[in-house]
Amino acid sequence: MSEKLRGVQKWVDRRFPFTAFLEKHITQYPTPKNLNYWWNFGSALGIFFTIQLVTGFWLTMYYKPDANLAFASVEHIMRDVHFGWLLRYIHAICPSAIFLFMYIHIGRGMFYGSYKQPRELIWWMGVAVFLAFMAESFMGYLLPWGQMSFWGATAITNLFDAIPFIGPSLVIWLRGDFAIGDSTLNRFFSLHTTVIPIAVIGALIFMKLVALHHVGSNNPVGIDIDKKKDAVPFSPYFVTKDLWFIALLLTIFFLFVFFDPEFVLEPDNSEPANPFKTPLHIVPEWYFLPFYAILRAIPHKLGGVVAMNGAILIVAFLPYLDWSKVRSARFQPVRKWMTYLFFANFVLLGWLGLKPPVGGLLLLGQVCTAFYFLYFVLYPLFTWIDRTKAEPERI
Amino acid sequence: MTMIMTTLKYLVFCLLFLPAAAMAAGGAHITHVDLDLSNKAVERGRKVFEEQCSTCHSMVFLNYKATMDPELAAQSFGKEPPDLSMTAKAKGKRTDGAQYIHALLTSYYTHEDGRPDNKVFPNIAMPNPGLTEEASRDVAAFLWWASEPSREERKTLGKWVIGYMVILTGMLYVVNKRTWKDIKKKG
Repeated sequence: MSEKLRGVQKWVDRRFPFTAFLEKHITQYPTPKNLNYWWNFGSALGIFFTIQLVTGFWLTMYYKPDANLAFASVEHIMRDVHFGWLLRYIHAICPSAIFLFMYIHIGRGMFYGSYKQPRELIWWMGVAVFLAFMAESFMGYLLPWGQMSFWGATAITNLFDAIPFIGPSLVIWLRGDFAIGDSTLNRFFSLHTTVIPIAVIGALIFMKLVALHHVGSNNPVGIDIDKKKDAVPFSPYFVTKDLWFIALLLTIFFLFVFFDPEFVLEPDNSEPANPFKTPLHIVPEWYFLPFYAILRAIPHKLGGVVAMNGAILIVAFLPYLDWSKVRSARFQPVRKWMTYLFFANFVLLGWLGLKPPVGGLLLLGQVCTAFYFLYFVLYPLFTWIDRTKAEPERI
Repeated sequence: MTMIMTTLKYLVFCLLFLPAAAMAAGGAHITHVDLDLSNKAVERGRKVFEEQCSTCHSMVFLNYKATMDPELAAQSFGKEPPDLSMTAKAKGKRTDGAQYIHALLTSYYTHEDGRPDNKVFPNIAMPNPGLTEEASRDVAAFLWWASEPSREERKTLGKWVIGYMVILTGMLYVVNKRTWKDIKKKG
């Protein structure tokens, strides 16, 4: 570094802890050297979320949040704006990547016990980020003002109707009208582009990183590491590891963006919203399907809503449901295979979410829902009785 | 304990294969033909559209207005003829929308009592436009193109992007291998 630049750095550092911040959080951050590739999805999520912020910011320049203009303004972006189709497809397909990575990231945390002390707060912030992303994508989905936008939003806001006493008024309050309409579109646009991405998701991710860098990363073995012997500085080791893996994920992502956007996009949404014509099947985006299957497995509206929300919130209780002495499921065979079973059951629930809940499929949905909750209910038991293999002294 | 483990493992595999097995079943009701979606077919289809379809149907995103007054059309057919800008994209993924349009245009038939109908779209309001097989295919190609004119640009640019990303990923992979060489050696 030249003498002049060093001078600037000194000038800044006296006024703002720039170098210290960089060293603490990036260049010198001690990272366990045994992290496997399941640990790469956190940084990937950061990059893909940034892609959403950038493309979203650009799209707001051309999009019109008005029930009469919204659909046509999206087509204006697709047809007339230079590379508008690219911005829009990236922004429409990226949530699929984000949710896939979030599911992998959460699954990794469950398997390796990343929720256990001292990382409970990180876990809860993560659950909050997941919920915020659900709200964010749900509201964003209304904006193209297609048939599925309209009817999906109608179906989801209708769920609040099941809440005793306040339900019906709450639905009107959420929609700003008696049905999904222009006022709903305006408030969803406002929330989707300001408060939720920046003040909720952005702030939570920032706090989550502060907490993570305070306690340090967990690792596949799950034991506390010796920061001198078991860790390597984040730069260059994890900078290059993250970079190449993100490049790989982006390559796969671009394959969908450029060659098969329809893989995730719903044809029905290419038809403008029509309040007088209900589509044959109202199917949520694929990443909501497991929870949708749980909702429909319960033949009682309020019960279904409670089960669906409970299915997400119960994950937050893992730090207290886990009675084992070790973090990583590697050392607990029953917990390990129960967790694999839980993952497989989750995939199956997603598939069931696509199917009409009748006959054998309804029964299967109920069995899968029961297992989903049973897993958490039995968690204290099998983490407690499971014979624990000896953990190594060092990673 | 071993029995629990064996049962658990067995269940995991069964659960993972169930959806795959069920996916293999199921089928579509529209007969797919080998559609020509080239620019030539699109241009031929555009002519057919301008000469016949545009009498009643508009395409707002391509600035085509229906020649007939929409209200008059609604009175004559009982329903306002829909705008066709997005039809090919709304009726199916990838090229399925084009297949749908071709199938609809070639599926008119007459009931025993002489009432005309359509196999793909029962109780259709549109009378049989009487297009030839060729013209039906070309119209399908035109509507497919019209539903997303940026498709060609997307695929052309996509090849460059993917090529670039593959090289970049490969190079970053090598960089990462070199970074970790010493650590991996020490174990």
